Amino acid sequence: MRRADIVVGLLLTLFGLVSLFAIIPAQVGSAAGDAGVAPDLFPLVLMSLLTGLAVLLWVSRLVHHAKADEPAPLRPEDFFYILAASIVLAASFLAITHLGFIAGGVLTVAVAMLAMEGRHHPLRLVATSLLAPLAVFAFFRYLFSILLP
Amino acid sequence: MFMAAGVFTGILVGAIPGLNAPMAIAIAVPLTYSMDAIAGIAFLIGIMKGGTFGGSITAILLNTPGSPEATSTAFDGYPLARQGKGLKAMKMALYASVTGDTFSDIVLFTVAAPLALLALRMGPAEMTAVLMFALTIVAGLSGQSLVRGLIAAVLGAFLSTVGLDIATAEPRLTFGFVELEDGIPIIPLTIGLLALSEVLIQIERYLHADSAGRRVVDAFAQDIPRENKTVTWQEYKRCSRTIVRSSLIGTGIGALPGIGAIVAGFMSYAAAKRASKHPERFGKGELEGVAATEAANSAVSGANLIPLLAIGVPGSLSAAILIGAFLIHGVDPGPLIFKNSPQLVYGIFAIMAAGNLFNLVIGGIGLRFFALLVKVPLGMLHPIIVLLCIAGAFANGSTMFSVGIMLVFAVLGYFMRKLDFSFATFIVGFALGESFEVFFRQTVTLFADRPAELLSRPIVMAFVALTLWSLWRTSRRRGSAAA
Repeated sequence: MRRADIVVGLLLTLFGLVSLFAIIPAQVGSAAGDAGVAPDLFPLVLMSLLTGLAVLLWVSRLVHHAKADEPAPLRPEDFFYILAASIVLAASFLAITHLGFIAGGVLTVAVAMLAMEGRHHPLRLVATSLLAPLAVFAFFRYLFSILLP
Repeated sequence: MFMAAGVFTGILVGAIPGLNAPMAIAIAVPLTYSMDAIAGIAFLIGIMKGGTFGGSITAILLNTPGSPEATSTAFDGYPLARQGKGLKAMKMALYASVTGDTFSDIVLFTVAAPLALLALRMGPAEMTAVLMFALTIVAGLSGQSLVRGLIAAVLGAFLSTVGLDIATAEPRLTFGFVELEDGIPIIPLTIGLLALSEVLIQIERYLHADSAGRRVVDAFAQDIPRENKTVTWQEYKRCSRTIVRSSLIGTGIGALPGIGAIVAGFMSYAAAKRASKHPERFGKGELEGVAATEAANSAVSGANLIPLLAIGVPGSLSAAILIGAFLIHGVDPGPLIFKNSPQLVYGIFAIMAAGNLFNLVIGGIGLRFFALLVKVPLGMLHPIIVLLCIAGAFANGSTMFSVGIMLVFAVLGYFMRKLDFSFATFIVGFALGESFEVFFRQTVTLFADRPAELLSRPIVMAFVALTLWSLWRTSRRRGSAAA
C-alpha cells in the first residue's frame, strides 16, 4: 500500500495543482455576485484542502517504512482487467446508443457471460442473454412507465 | 404495497452474495420517479430494511455475508447451519433483526423532531461546523487511513460544485457540457460507484476463481429434526438481554453520522460474548451470536435516519442515497422537513413501523425461497446486474449521458476500492457538498469582516473542537497508517 499511496498521492497533488492553477480559473468565474462571494471560492478552498491532504499522504508514506510482506493493492493484471472491462462497457454504451437497449443488452449480457462462464452452459447463455434485456425493458416500461432507449 | 415490494426486493438482494441494500437502493431510486413521494420513499426504506436481514441468509448458509454488516452473523450462523440448525439461525436472525429495527425506529420517532427543533436554531456558521464534523467522522470511520478518507470526502464535495453557481448561475466546471449544468447527477454516480464497481470487483474475483469451493448448506433437508428448524419462546427469551443490548449499541452508533452497521455488528457481538456465561461457545454455533449481530445492524438502519431528518446529514450510505430520492420528490431533508412536509415525515414514520411488520411476515414466509437464491450462478447474475445498472442510470433523466456518468464512476469506484479510498465517504461528501457550500458561503458573507465573532459562538466552537478531537483521536488510533 505504501508505494501505491505515494504514487496516488503524487498524482492527486498534480491533479490538485493543475486544478488550482489551470482548471478552476478557466472553468469557474471569480467575480463576486450580489452576495459578495465569488463562485470559485468554495472549489478553491476544497481543492487547496485536497492538494494539502495529497501532499500529506505521499510525504507521510515516504517517511514511514513499509512492512516487508505488504501486498500491492493493484497488480498489472488488475489494470488489464479494468481496461478490458472498460472497453466492454464502452462498447455496450455504444451498442445501446445505436441499436437500442434490447439489442445492446443482448450483446452486453452475452459478452459478460462468455467472459465469466465461457461456453460451458450454452443454453443458459442464450436464454439469459435473450430474455434478461427483454425482461428488464418490460419491467421498466410497464411497471414504472420508464421507456428505455 | 410499495413497502412490501421494497422489503421483498431488499431481502432478495441481500440474500444474493455480493449484493447489498445500498446497491439496490441506488438502482431502485430512478424507479420511484413515477411514484408519489411517500410510495417512493416507502419502497426504498423497505429495501433498506429487508436488505439488512437478507444479508444474514448467505452469511448463515454460505459463510459469505450477503452484506458487509452481516460479517459477524457468519461467525455463529454458519456453524449452526453445519449442525443442521440453519433454519433456526435464520429465524433468530429475522426476529432479532425486526426487534432491533423496531427499537431504533421508536428512538427515531421520539428524538428526530426535538433534534430538528434544536437544529433550526442553528445558523449557517453552526451548520458549517456540524457538516465539517460529520465529514470528519465519516472519513475517520471508513477505510484504513484517515487521510485517504478525508481525500475521498473532499473530492466528493468538490465534484458537487460542478454545475450552475448557486448565487450567480454561471456554469462551473462543466467543460461545455450542457448536461452538467444541473450538476453531476447523484443517482448515476451512486449506481456507478456503489453497484457497478462492486460488480466489476466481483466478476474479477470470479475470474480469479475466488468463489470456487463455496459450500452451501441445505437448511431445509427432510432429515433435520423439527426443533432445529424453529426458535422457541424460551430461546428468544434467553437471547432477549443480548437483543436489547445490541439494539442500544446499534441505535447509538446509527445515530452518529458515519458508516456504522459493520462496527455495530462487531461491537454487539463482542459485547454479547463478554457478557455471556459461556463465551467459549461463541464462534462454534451460539444462537446469541447471531441475535447480537442482527439486532445491532438492523437497529442502525432506523437510527441513521435521525441525523438525516433532524439536520440533513446522512447517518449511513443508504441514508446518503435517500437524500437523492428526497430531492427527486422535491423534499429537502433537514430540520425544515418537519415544518414544510409534516405529512411526509409522519408518513415515513408510519411506513417504517409497517416495514418491520412486512420484514417479519415476508422474511418468515419467504425464507425457503430466499435461501434458494444463494444457489443462483454468479456467472448469470452479474451480467443481469450490469444491465440493471445501465437501465437504472438511464432512467435518471432518460439520457445516455447519465449512463456515461455511471460508467465513469464505476471505473473510478473500482480504483477507489482497490486503493482503499472510501467510496462511501466520497458519496457522503458529494451528497453534503451543496448544503456545505450554501452554509459556508453564508458564513463567509456574514462573518467576512468580523471573523473573531465566530469565536464567541459556543456551538461553532464546540463542533470545531469535536472535529479537531476526532481527527487527533483517529490519527492516534491508527498510528503511522493514518498519518
